[in-house]
Amino acid sequence: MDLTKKSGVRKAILIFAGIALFFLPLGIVNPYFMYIINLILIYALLALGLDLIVGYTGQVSVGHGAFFGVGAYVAAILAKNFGLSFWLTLPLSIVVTSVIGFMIGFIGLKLIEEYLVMATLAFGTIIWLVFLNWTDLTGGPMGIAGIPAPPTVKIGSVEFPFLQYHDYYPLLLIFVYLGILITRLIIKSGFGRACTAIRDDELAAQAMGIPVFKTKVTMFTISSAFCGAAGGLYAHFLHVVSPETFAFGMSVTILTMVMIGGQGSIAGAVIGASILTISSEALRETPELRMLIYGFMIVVMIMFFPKGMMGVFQMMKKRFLQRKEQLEKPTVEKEGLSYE
Amino acid sequence: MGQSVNVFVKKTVLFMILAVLLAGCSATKSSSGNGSSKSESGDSIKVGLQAPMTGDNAQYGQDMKNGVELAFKKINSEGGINGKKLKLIVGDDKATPTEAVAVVNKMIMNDGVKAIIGGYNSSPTLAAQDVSGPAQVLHLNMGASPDLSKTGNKYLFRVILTGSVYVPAVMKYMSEEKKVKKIAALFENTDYGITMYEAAKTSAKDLGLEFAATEKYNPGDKNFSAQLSKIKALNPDAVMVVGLYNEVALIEQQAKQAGLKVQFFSPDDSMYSKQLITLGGEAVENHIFASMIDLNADTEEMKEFKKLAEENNIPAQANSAIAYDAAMALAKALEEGKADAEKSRDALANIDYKGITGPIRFDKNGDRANTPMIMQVQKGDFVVIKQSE
Amino acid sequence: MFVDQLVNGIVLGSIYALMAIGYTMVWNVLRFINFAHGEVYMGGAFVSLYLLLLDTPIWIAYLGGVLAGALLGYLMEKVVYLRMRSAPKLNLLIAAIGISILLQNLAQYIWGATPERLTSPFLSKNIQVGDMMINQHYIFIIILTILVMITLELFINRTLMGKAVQAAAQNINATQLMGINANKIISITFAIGSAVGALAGILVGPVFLVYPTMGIFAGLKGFTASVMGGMGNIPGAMIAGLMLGVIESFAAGFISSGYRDAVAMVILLFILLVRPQGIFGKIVQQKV
Repeated sequence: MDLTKKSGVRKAILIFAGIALFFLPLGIVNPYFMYIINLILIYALLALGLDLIVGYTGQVSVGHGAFFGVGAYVAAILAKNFGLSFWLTLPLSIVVTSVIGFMIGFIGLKLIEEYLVMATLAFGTIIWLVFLNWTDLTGGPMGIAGIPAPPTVKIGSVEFPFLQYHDYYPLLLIFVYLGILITRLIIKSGFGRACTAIRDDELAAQAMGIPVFKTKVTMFTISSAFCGAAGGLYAHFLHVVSPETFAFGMSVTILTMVMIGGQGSIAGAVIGASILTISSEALRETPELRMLIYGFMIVVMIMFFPKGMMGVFQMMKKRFLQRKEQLEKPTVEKEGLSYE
Repeated sequence: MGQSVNVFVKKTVLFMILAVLLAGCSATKSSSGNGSSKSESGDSIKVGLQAPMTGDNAQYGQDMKNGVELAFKKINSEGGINGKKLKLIVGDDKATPTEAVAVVNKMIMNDGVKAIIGGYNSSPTLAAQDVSGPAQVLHLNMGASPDLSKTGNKYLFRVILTGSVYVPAVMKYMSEEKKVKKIAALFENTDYGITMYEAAKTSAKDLGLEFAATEKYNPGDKNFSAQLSKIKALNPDAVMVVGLYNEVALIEQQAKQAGLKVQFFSPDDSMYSKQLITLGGEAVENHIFASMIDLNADTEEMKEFKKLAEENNIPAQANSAIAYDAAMALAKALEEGKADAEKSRDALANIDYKGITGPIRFDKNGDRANTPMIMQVQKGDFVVIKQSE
Repeated sequence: MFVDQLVNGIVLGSIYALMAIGYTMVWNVLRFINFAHGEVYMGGAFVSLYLLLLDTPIWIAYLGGVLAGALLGYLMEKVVYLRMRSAPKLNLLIAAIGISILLQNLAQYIWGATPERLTSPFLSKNIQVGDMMINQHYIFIIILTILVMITLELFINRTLMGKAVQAAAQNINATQLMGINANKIISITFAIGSAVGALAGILVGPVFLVYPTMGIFAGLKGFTASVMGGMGNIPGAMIAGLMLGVIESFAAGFISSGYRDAVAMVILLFILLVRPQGIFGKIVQQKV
């Protein structure tokens, strides 16, 4: 009774906060900060996608940067060579990325643990080399420039053109919300629980009759679709795609975001994307030491907070509740008193 | 219990330290940002450098930084621009578009830079000029891509020569003076390498030369033996190498080891550096290339540059010299335009400055069009063998 | 051309083999991929370079680089990985990546980004074999690799310490129960693997130069070789390294140089799928 009421209030607050976030650009005048926020949103979408397979299904991939690239290149090529609008290129880039994700998942997910890591690394590198060498299609090292912005959205007589970073923000935010919604739907479903079962104990899951391989491949495909969407958005947002963006480093960055934020958590993915992007930007004040400190931060965080930021929050929450409990029931405090 | 409390406290303290560290970093940023944004507050004019400072391309970013710093030191010691000192803001673009846009935004919005020197690579520059153009910030880049001439951005200028200027000069020389008929190409698989290669293909057709083989190598490769063996089997008269000094030195050394003894040449001066000779030694002897700069030139400007470089313990090389020239030309334009965005742009567009890399004049696309000279490595030094026309 | 590519392939392969040993040895005791191993390769080469700048005799500089590499690997384990023994393998992977970013940029901060050439007493001399010239330094690389392999093989199979390492590879917990100090074994493994990795870096320094990001690709290749040979299989890693070098060299020579690295990756995938235990590995049942 109390619990349902509590969760109802929580939900209302969340929805209110969600809507309030749309008005964030009103408070931020500096386009640089807006660009960083947009970048965080794109990374958040990527981290959400990767978290589906890493955090919820327990299968590690270091090739998702390549899926991001596939999404971006498909959108770029369709928009530049065929003149398709954003509203067509985005679904198509999601579809193409999913198909590639499915194929790679179908081949790679026969492997487990570190062997899967190696396989995804190999696939990622191969796709990156294709970006770099298939010059006729991808522009090779030149990449593709001059990708058009999404067409102006008309709602009634109000027009929303895409000119500044502020204009992209609602669009990206909607996609992140969609991503969060889909993630929630998936993890609450029977399919999602099957995935968590596989993560916790693959053999037990199999024994319980869960089609392990099929479930994994499906999740891998969905996860790559997230990256495809992020890629499509990225291409139209930045107007330029080039291979170096989608090299191994990108895959590693996304994975680090998931781990720093806390795997298997929606908030964790978003927090991880924010922390890494913001710290990388904040460190620009010391250009010589920037990447050095960045690497050091990653090591320290992962060493001392193995469950990421979400782990820290949970630990604090638990402490807080325990403290509260102890205060409410002074009889149990005896043990505690002996400390003094 | 006691232990877990201990662990908890430790972790919380660590977390706090990290959080404070980060908050501190961003606080200094926003405070410095809002105060000076968009204004020429105080007695300095800020200029940004957008270049790769980390990763595989870091050394080239460093070369550029050295050049710009030399120029600023000289200008500031002579009283600055209209009494204002020039201040350099270094921004690392890691050679990727995402970072380039971020750093250019930061430099324009938070640091309030009046102009940006940089973009060593094409894609980051193409992405970044989308930001600097509308903000009316001068952008002097060193990218190679022909796309950079087609942006329509009035504030974008290119301080290096384009492939269509460099390449025909050296190809003509090879054909006429060296009587070369059959050429093999080995180029870096980057925007720069491809641009040069495409220009060479066109120029070879015009001159009636034959391209026997075209091999490429991926950025970061240091082993070229496979490509060189292939080229050796085709027995060309000369090999065109498109790459930067480290790679060219390695290629020629490995070619020597593979027994490939032909004339090597490069279409441009990207390999013009003492480093080429340090690394390549005897193997790079007789290498021919087109260049817009002669570091041994007997001019006042060059002597001054070399003196400055020596004083500041910086290697004098082509990349730094080009960046130096860019900074000098920029300073002149800012002085004439009184640091006003539009006036400075017009001043830069109509500039006629005698730089150490030849005359600096820009056409309507913001490109330079002076003819290069032909140089050769002789006895461990770079010697001009044909003056520019 | 065939012989050219073969020689190149063997030289490259020797380097990959030396790198693969480090990955495989660490895998043996801790069952994780030390992604920061490429940085040991870079670190060793840089220390040698620095010692040479101080006019140290060349052999001492080389030895110093190898020792520095061993120390780096040892510290990496003592400072970071030791505190993460109970953490999931994925955390170790991320930590390794963090270390890798840290060390690369530390090297750039200290020594700068410009590639430098390590001196070698052999580099300027060639040996005439038939109608082709082979650089003496290449021969030096091959001979040294063979020596290292023999020494390692003797160490692992003939010494008590080596046997302890082998035991740890089979079951680290049981090893501990048998009264062997598991942490000491792990440290020794890291130190030896890293020393060999650093040696690889020093050996390529005169040919492919020394610079902060040199470890990335070498690491990737060494890692591929270690998978090919079967993770944890030291002789397998050596042979696989050589094979990878030769295959790659031929692929670049006869297929496409742009896709040379893709060839290595395709082989990696093929092996993973068809023989995940590696070419020379034994099948290990998944534990319940």
